Amino acid sequence: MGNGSIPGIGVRQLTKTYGRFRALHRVDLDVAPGSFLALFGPNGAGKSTLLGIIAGLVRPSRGQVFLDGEEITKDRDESLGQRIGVLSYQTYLYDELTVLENLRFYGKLYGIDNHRERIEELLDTVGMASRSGSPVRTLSRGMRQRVALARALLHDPDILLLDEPYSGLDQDALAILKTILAERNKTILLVTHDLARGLESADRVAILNRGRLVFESGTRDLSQVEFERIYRDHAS
Amino acid sequence: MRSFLAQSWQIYRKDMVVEYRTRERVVTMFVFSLIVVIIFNFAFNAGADVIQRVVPGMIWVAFAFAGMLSASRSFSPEKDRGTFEGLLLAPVDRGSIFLGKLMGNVTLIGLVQLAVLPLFVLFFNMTILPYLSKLLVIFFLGTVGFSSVATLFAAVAVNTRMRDVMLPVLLLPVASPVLIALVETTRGTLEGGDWQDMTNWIRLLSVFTVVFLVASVLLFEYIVEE
Amino acid sequence: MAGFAARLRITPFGLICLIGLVASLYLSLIWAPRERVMGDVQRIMYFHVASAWLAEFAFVLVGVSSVIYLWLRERRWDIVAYSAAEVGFVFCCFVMITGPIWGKPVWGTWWTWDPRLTFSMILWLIYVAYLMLRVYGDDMPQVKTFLAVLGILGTIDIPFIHFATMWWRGLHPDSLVMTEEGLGAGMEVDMRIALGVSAVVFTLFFFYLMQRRMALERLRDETESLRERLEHRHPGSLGA
Repeated sequence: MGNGSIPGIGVRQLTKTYGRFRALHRVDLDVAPGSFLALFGPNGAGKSTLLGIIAGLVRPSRGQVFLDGEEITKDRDESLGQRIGVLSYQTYLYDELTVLENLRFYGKLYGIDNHRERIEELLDTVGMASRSGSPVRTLSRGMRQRVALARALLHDPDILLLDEPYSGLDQDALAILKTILAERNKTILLVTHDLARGLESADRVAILNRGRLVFESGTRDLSQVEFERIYRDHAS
Repeated sequence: MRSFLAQSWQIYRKDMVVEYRTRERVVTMFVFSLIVVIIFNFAFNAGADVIQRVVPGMIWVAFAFAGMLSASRSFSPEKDRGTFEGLLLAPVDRGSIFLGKLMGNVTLIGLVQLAVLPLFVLFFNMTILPYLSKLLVIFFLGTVGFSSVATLFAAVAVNTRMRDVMLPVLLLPVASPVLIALVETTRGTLEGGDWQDMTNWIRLLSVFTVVFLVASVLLFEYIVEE
Repeated sequence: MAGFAARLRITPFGLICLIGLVASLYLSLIWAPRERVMGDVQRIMYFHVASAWLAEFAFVLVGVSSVIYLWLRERRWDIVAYSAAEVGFVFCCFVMITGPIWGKPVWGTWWTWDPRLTFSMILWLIYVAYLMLRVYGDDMPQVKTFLAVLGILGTIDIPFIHFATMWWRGLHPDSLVMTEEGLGAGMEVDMRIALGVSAVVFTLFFFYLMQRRMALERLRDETESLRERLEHRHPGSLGA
């Protein structure tokens, strides 16, 4: 975990249809090892479906996803979960359990040996150490999202998938997330509506509309004003 | 294999801790079974000899519906709050998620059975003490078999628009052999029958339980994948 | 005749089925001897038994194609399973209707919980569950998988339902009247011929219906993809 090389993500001709609805249509996308790609698009563009396929939750209709050149979409390999961390607008936390109980539960599912130290360390990082005994039900939305961040990083994944992670994060938590993302020791794929935040932290940006990849570019020479104009043109 | 069982155990333990804190499922199941007992009593306003004949059926109608409640509630909160996705993301065999859920359902139905059976004895003046060990075997086999199918179909029904209606529609026809066998063996036992009189039924119960348990563990993976 | 057939879009296979059905009707209703105890009403047996065989066979077909569907994930196996379920359901309904018609004069009651009738009733309910899931799950992405799982479990269940319903009634000798074995044993040769022909013809007819149902489903898929292509080229033109 965490050692060895960081894998990149390769998406080839990925198609997913739900009955009559085509969520993704022949999407090709690469996220280089250790880089950060932000994916934008209006509602129903297929962003979450794409993340779901990479995370192994959704079976693609056609096409492949590669991690480090290794196809992961053919047969589900349990160890895939070991390499991928997901931070979503859903916290994946149980309201009835305390912060510590939640993290311990996931720690055991992920088979983390020294989960006690790991949990302590992460709770310190996200500034929730003092509330570790509180039931999640009693926490504010922002606090829950911080615990969710700790949960996503628990097994120190090489790949981080972020699905609208900014929803509910307060200023402090945002700063923590930014620091973690800036370390660049993970391959990161972010899906969001938030053009400004996405553009600011990512190396590359892409736009998905009606299941098709319609724009892709580096962020170095891309100003926010220009990108907003491009987004309006492509995502209508 | 060890980690498969260990992961099932983690999920089971988590479910039981949540249930211990809310007591949602056990209480609703218990109240439901109690109401069934009382309503049946009104429905069959009859003498002791008739009651003796219908009690085994009443018992299993009550427990079948309590079991459906348990199975349905073992998925619906996870689905509605999004935590189910969290389980699916973890590096565990999905069969172990199923097994954990199944163990939880069997435990809760077992608890409700423990609480409700004395009430049957009380209300209908039944004798069960001499047959306790036999009943235990029958109840355990049948509850595991029934719950396997119930847990699997609950995972299907939770995705449908009419989840509360779909579960009984899907489950009861498929589970009918095990329900028939349970009623017959329970009746046979309460009438003082021997194992030899019920070999066929016990065999059917055991084979059904094993076959559907294995099939459900294997098929669960397909169900949870979008 | 050929022009008439072409206008009705009857395939040669369909024509064979039609001729077979007429022949089978003749053999069952006129040619076969009148049963001494039950009288003419017994003639419904030729259709009842043939349909019962297909109702069960169709569900096994649902189960087998469901396994292949889960394995290969090809839409055509889902079509086979679904078509078999729909056509099988029709035959199962026919069993449920002809059973009481036959039973009323013979047993003096429309319905009796005879093992065969009970078995058909449970099978019928599993068909209903399958078709309901298809209808109410139409908007779910995983509905085909769910149906395949139900098809597989239902097929595994068939022997269990058989034994459970049989032992449940304690195998009374009078219930043997309704079973194929019991009937076959006491049947005259002509009756057996009529039953055999009816079983073969019904099986052919089953496959004919399957073929038509599958063609219809493929046409629907094709319409859908055409519609989608049109929608993509001229958004909003179809108003849907």
